[in-house]
Amino acid sequence: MTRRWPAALLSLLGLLVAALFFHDQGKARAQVDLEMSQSLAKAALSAVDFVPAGEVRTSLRYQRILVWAWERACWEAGRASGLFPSVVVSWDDHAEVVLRGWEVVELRRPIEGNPGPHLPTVLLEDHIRHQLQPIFPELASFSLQRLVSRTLEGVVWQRAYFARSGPPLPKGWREELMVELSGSTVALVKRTLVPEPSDMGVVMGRWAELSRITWLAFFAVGLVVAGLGLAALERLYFRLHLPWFSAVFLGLAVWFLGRELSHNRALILFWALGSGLSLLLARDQAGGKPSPWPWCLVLGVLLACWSLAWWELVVLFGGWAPRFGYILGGDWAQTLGEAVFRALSEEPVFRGGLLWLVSPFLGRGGAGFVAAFLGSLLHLLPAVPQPSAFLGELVAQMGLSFSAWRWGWFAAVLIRATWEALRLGVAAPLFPWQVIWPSVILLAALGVAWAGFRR
Amino acid sequence: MGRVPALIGVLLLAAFVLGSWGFQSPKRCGSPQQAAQRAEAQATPLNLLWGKLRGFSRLPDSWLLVYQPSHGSWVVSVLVPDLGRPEPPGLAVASWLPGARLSASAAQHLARSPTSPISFAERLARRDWYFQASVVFGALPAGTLESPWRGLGVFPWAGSLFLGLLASGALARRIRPHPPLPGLRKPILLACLVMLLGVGGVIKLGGDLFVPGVRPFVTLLVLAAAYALALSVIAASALLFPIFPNSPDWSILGTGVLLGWLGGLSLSPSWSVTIAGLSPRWLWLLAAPILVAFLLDLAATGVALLVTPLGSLARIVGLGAAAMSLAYGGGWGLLTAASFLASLFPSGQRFWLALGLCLGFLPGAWWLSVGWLGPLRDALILMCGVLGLVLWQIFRAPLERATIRRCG
Repeated sequence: MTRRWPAALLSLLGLLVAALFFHDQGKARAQVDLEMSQSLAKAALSAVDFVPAGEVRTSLRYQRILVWAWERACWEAGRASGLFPSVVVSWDDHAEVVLRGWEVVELRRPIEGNPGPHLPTVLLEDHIRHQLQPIFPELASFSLQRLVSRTLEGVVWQRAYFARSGPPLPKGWREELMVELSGSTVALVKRTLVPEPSDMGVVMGRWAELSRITWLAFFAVGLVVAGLGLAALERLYFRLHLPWFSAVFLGLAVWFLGRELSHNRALILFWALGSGLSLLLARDQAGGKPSPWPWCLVLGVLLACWSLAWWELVVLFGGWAPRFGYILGGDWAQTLGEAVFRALSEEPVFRGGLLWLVSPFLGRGGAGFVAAFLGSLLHLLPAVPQPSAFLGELVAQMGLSFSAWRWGWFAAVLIRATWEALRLGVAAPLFPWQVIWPSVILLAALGVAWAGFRR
Repeated sequence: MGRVPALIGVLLLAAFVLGSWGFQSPKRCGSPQQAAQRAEAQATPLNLLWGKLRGFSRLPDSWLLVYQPSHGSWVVSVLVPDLGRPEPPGLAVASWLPGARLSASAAQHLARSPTSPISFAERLARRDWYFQASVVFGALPAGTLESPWRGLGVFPWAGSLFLGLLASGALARRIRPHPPLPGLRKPILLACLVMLLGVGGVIKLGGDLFVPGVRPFVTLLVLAAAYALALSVIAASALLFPIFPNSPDWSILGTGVLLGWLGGLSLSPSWSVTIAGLSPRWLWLLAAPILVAFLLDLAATGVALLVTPLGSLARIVGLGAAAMSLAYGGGWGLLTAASFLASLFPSGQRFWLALGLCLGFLPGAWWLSVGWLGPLRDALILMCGVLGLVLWQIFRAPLERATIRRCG
């Protein structure tokens, strides 16, 4: 038996712990069932006497800041609660229903033909409550605030504004419900959550601060990319042998992946250039054989565990952090694509190019720390106190720097992709996390067992 | 350089100094600290705390002061004209702060505006009304916010050109290696270190980066870190792209000082007056010129590399480009013009010319526009010291000086 069996045993133990942890995390995640949403949307429309026609489309809509503010308000009230992302179900005939979890938050239907007789004001509230009761069971807790009406082309349009506050809403939050009727037909219903200003202010303020910090990281990485560009030009002038084909291929891969994910063009160009130049100059530090992929998977899984556990730790020590971090609105392919994009674009630069450029000045340890520091500034989330968000990321990034030092930066790419896929996936409503995490853990366990216990 | 041209230079300088005494500009201004005192004592009260003075900026006839409290929920900016009372303070408020939802007529009454509001914005828990020269945040009337960078617009072409020249200069130093002069690395590294120690004063330049909703300590941290990073890059550049000047030709250095002085006197940009208000001032008079001269020398090397194929036309092109940059390049045009100008000199003397330009520029700029004692005294001491050194070197017995030509 080789000497690697102790590491393999340790890794298997780590994977077991990770499996138990992920199982626990999975229970709390907000997953969306699109088919169920469609049938709920149809039922809501039929409650207002409308049958939608044409092709049905679904998409996700989410307000990240609002979700975080809600989480924070609930945390202050001493309970853990998250807001579901909204699912928009729309049809070709412009009928549209938006659901948050199983609740209808918006309903819009086209008015064709006669909308029915105009209702006098005294009858309007009862009519609305009667008609919307099947869609909004909690409508009784809303009180009518005001009524507005206008006549358009002989049809009377009326709007009723309802509102509620108090439990189950957090302290200081309100919920408004606007109902629009054309004649006696409900044409539009819109339910809006109005957050308490200080809850929203903390999250918005922290988010604005983080964007400033991200500028700093981009400034630093921009300088690194400029340095790499100069070094590449110098080598081009002296006609040194460089892996031009691989570099261009990686740059193009990052570019097309970024375009597919609809990122900002300047950002994609920046990362495509950076990763291509890093591969061009630091190819010999990418790592070689034997491929350490099983260990990379293990480290990726452990880093994802760390990222998810860090938020729990912050809350445990009296701070606050959004439990589900980044919420990606797309399907599983977008979440996976984002994970791969981050790994392919950032890791070659931080663990390859930056180390190659800065090591002569600071040594490999110092350069690794700088890479981890800058990397941890790029994807921060709002937290109270703010540095707690940074510390959690920094530790994980140090792990990546260590892996790059141990196995080369290509290993860091693999670890990063695994880590990001798992941690982004837990907050992505359409990501099959329940399938992905056992598969990754099983694959890692098999790979580690094979690599660690073979003779 | 012989004694006659040097004497001519000295006479020119003396004439200009005397001339500048005779044609004193009426635009001399007080210090930003005096402006802050006036603003805090005389400006219309806002009914909220201003916080600390976070930054200041010089506009043509006034100082713009930026205040922000430590919680960062709002930013107050005050325009303090050199003559007259401070303008009503401008206010920017975080969009989530609660307030009132006033009607248009109530807001107009509160703002004491003769005209109707131009527009309004529904915020989370208040309504903001915007008038021609004022704004009502919820129920709080205030002036509109001035931006010190309004004249700069997007990143100017001259700045991009200067960065490109720096890059080509760095490349030129790598592909045309030459024996470096280790003696000059230490002053550059030392200048970087000294400039780093002055970070507390430098961040006063970033007044526009303080925005409502972002706590000032975060902005200060980011500014300080970016500044330290830029200095580290310059220090690393001094090692990677070392300069190779000959021993100084004192007449070229003197010419540079004279040109810098003249340039400062004639242009006197407002940013130079802003710098006069920073402390410690000696950083900007001694350490900053060394760093800027290093960068100008690097950019001039880049120009030389780029215009090599032009042969004898290179000088004309260089002069034309310098004039164009100076005329149309704005603030960044000064750097670009200086780079083009330095490229006309022999490679071993570019650094000394650039150093002279940088040493002379700020004292020249302050001489006519600054109206408080500190900068004028420091500028005078610096100019006397530098010119005294130059004259002493020129007029002392000529020594056999090693030049690159003789070496090789």
